[in-house]
Amino acid sequence: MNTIFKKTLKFALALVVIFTAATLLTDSVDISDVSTVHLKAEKPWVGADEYAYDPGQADTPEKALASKINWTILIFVILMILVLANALDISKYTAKITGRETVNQNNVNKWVFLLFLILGFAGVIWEYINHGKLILLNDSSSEHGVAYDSMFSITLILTSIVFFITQFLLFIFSFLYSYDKNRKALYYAHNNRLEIIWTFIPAVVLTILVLRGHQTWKSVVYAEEYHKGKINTIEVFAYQFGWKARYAGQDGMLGVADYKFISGTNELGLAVKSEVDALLIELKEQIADDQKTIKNLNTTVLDGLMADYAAADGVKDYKSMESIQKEIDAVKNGDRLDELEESIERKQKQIERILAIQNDKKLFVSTFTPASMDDIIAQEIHIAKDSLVTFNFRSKDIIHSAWLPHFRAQMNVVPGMPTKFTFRPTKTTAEAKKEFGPEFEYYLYCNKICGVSHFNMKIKVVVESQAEVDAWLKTQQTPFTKKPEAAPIPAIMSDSTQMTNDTLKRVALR
Amino acid sequence: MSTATIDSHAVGHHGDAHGHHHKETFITKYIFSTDHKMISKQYLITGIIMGCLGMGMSLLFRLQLAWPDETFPFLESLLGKWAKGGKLDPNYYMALVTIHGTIMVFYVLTAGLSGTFSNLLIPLQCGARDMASPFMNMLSYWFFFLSSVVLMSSFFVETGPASSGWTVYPPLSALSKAMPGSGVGTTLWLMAIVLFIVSALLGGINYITTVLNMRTKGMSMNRLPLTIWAFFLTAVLGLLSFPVLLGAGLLLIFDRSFGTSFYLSDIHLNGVGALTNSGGSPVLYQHLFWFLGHPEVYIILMPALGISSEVISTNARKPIFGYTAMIISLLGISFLSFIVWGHHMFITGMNPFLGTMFMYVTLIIAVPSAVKTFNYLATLWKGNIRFTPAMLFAIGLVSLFISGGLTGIYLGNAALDIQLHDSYFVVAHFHLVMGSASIFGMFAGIYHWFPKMYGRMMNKTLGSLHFWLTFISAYLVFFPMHFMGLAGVPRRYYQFSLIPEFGIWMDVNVLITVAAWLGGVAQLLFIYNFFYSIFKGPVASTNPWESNTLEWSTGLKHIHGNWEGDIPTVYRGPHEYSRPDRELDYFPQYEKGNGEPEHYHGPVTVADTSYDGKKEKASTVFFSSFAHLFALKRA
Amino acid sequence: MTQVNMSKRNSLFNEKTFMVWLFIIASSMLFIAFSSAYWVHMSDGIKNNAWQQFDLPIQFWISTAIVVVSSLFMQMAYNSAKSDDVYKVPSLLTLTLLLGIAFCISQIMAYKALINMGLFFSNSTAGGISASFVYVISGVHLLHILGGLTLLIVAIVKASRLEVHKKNLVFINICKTYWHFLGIVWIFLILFLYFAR
Repeated sequence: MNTIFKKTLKFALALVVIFTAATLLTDSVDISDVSTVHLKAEKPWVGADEYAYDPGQADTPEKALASKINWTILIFVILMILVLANALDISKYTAKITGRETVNQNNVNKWVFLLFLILGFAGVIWEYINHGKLILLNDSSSEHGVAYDSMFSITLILTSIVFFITQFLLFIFSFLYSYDKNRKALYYAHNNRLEIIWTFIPAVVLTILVLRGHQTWKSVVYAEEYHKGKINTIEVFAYQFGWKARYAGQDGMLGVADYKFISGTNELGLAVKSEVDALLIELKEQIADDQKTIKNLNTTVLDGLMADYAAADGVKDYKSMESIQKEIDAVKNGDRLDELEESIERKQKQIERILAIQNDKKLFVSTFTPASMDDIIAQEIHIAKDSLVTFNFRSKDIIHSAWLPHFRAQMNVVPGMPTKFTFRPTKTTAEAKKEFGPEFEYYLYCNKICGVSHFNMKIKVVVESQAEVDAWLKTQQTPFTKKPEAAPIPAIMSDSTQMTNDTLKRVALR
Repeated sequence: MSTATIDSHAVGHHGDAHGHHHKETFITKYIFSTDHKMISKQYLITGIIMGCLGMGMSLLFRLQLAWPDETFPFLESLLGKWAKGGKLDPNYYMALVTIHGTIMVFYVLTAGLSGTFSNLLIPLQCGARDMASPFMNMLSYWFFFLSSVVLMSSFFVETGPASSGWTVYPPLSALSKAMPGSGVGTTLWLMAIVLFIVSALLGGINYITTVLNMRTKGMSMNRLPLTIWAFFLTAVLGLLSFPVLLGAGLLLIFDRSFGTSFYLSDIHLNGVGALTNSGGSPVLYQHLFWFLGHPEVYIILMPALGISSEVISTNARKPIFGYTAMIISLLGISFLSFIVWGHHMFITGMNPFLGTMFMYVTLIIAVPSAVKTFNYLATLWKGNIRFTPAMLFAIGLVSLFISGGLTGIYLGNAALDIQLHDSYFVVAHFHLVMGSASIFGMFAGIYHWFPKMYGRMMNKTLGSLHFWLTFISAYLVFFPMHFMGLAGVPRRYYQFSLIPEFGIWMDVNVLITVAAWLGGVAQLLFIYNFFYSIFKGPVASTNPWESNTLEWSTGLKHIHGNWEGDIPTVYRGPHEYSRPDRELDYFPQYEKGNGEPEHYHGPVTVADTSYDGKKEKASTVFFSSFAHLFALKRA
Repeated sequence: MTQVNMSKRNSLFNEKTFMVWLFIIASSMLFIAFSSAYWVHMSDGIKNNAWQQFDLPIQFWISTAIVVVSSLFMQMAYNSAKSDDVYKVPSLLTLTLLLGIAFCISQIMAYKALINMGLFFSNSTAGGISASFVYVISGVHLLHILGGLTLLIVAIVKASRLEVHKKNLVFINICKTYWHFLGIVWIFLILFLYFAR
């Protein structure tokens, strides 16, 4: 009797807590605003512009309200679970005392299965209707995308049929055949004919899907053979964390590019003789610098660091004190020395490799062609509607993946392994804007985890008429057409990393 | 007591089940135990702890995805510098995603699921006193434990844990300058995985040997419970695929620490310059990784399917429909799983013809999977279903297996994969079919064999509540993700607010996160129920579920050797429920019936292995041996 | 009451030997993985003109001869044990062990020869992966040999205690199986490395 008393007390206490929480939260939250919040959320979020976003924008009262409501729901749910558990526990104790079960669990579960079936199907259909509207289907902006969409639709229809039938049977069987002590299950261990039928039917259906899939796949990966004719080749260059596009210049040919030639002024590593010569000089200077640092490592370098430390100590700048201390440690335990030696070795190797190309007559001629001199490097990709486009992918550092969801196109970008994707855009950006809304733009996203700013590695893709593309190309940089003046070489710095850090800082400041 | 409805024969065992005096010390009994039942419990508890950690991580990064603009001060107190001002660091987000994946795939669903139940059930259901090599079995657990410790220790290094995704693709994972997690964190990750592989191989060799060699009289292969078939084939898969991961890992270790170029080529890194590596191929790693990776999916799933076969048959009080077909489909799945790995790499620029071949074989796997599903449905049809928590989870498994399996038909199709690859659709697919379904299999196993493991019953009400909350939250979390993926939302993004087009999914992200937290809270019910019942649950009867299989013939208390007397003989298959010729609706394998043939394979008589000749001092024998060899001396 | 005679149990075949076979399958998978990785690299490398060809040092061929002879001794030891010629077993096993050690030394000499040829494990030569692979493959094999040597030492101790004879062949059988496996793997690897380059 004591326990049941305690249980009831707990139950009552929980109810009081919930009631209090509810009153407190409804006081601070005007529930009538909920509808407006959701209306807002359904529209594409306009707050973000192209490259950065303003955290102030995100902090609208609606957002804060929405999150508050969500937290409230969560707390409610947790409390409800506790109450339910308590209530069931009480019923267990009463059952113990009164000697009969108040709740037949088997029956409860049976009905919950039926309920789950109905609500689940309702939910699934709701999802199909509501979120189904948002998926990319039958709105492809590329030629092969149409074949892709029809393949997808067939699969969607077939799998949905199977989904509804099998889930229905599973839950309805669970409902119909729940335990009854007066009944005995049917002893039915196997039926060969039935088993053959349900092996055969999926096999046939899958064969159809495989054959259709094969056709679609072939039309995508062998696109060049499928569509003979002029192909516009654009190089898409990936690096941590961004993309660059390279167009052939007047000569219509993309020049040779190599990771070994990459420098501050030659970000894509084009084979331009003057640039590469400058790079060689730069590398040699760096080696000399490194060697000098090694020589003075335990004298002036260490002393300099010590002085910096003392200076930081003077102004109580603990953060830089910490980082300087780390550098001092690295000098003392030899890490810095290893690092420098490694760096020298790396640079020497690079020089050696560049010279190997320059000194080999055949290689030299095939590498340093005029084709690379007039290449255009752009921050956006502009392609012409209805022309066949090949993206040649090249990665500077690690594996990225170029995904153009609206064109149903994706290809990994692997260092040391050239890849490409050929497709034909069929919808201009302007046309797409009419369909998807005025803020719409095509983007190429990175879709292979590549580091800290992976989530912000994208490049705008613009589809327009050939004339517009040509006009746009004229406005773009051709960095090496004229020999650039010797300029101080800026440190290689990823601008988008910088951007992210800034964003984060701003977020943190709030 | 709710179990009373089912327990028709409560046996007079009382709280003294553990009170017997053993010669073993605490250390040999609870820590370095060689008893398969204790090792199984050790696996289970470690698996549960790792599962909580893995789930906790997912809850943390879900917060970031749902409310990218909010700050959560508690994160800073939890994670320190990785969540300055309560905002998760992008690097740490990646680390959480990576370690969540690693923990769930390897530590919970491979070791926690197959390790626990293979250890518990193989000897018990085959009728063996213990594993073929109890010592190796113990080593297997301790390697696993060490591996877990090494993995978790990476959270305490300055540059954070491995963060290049659970697949740790090089070059990202090979270059510590490419992202901080690829430094010491990835070294620890690789060490942990090497230890894990050793553990998996030690375990697998043991399981295979035990199943083939140590079955009791009458337990022919076609009378084995489907659980054992599943564990057996799982072990075979592990034995054949884990060494390949070891090879991939070794080459990665060499690339990272010894300057080789197996996976690296033509790299110019920000702030470092052109690297010297040349000639390597990052795609090679992917081939080697997925040669393990795909069988690994079935290493995870098959034990769950085996457990659910057993649980569904027992609680539907019906023989499993198409026992032979079930085994054939398991065999088919195991075989096919070795030749489909390329479907993870359709868009790596692989040869299109190869892509076609991989598409063919991948979609064929759907046939045995469909057969299994239909057989489950046929088993439920006209059954007499008892909704024990285990049964609820088994039904849940079938539902999730259908939902997740069907989307596999999209992803196995090379053409569709172009668009769906690495999108949220993939996340939804594998979380349903391999994540949730296997976890449900694990829960089904825990609820079903808890009385066997601890001699007590778990609370049924809490069990049902746990099931429904988990089931609902699983669907709420993963179902909308399909649509996100189809709308072009990529996975492993730290936040979506920088891309305007993804703004429409913000409220769905919130829904998913709330549902995930609900699922997390539901697991607390389980944790409470589990640990409370170990000590205070009502004492179980010997055969609480009125099941047919051998493990329920041992009596409640655990003894090393399982059966006090002789090991029982087996007279029939494992799923003889509701036979029309019997009044009781079950017919244990070990109960002798009328006029049934007695399969028999006799135990090998233990030969006397002492030497007949004279005894001599070892050193004398050793030295005189050379004289014998050169015929200077005759024996 | 809780004491159960664990030795009285069902057993269809000798499980220890069987486990060694399973281990052999697992480590074969490792070598298959390495050799297919090598193969893939080679076919890519030759296509892109980035694959260094070199002659395997003579020491590798000496190792091959050593491994064949040691396998013969191992077989002789096993046969002696089988025919209860127990006094020959320790010496034959010792000879196998010595040859095993000689194999290790020969392998290390081969590495030295490779280094003298300018082929380093870690190198930045274009196509230098061929050399790295030779080191990895033979190195992993060498690790397996070290395991084999440990087994042999235990076997010698057992044989000297007259514990290896007609009625108790399990351990020497394991040694024999494993040692032959190592020999066969090495011969496969050397032929593979010789023909595929």
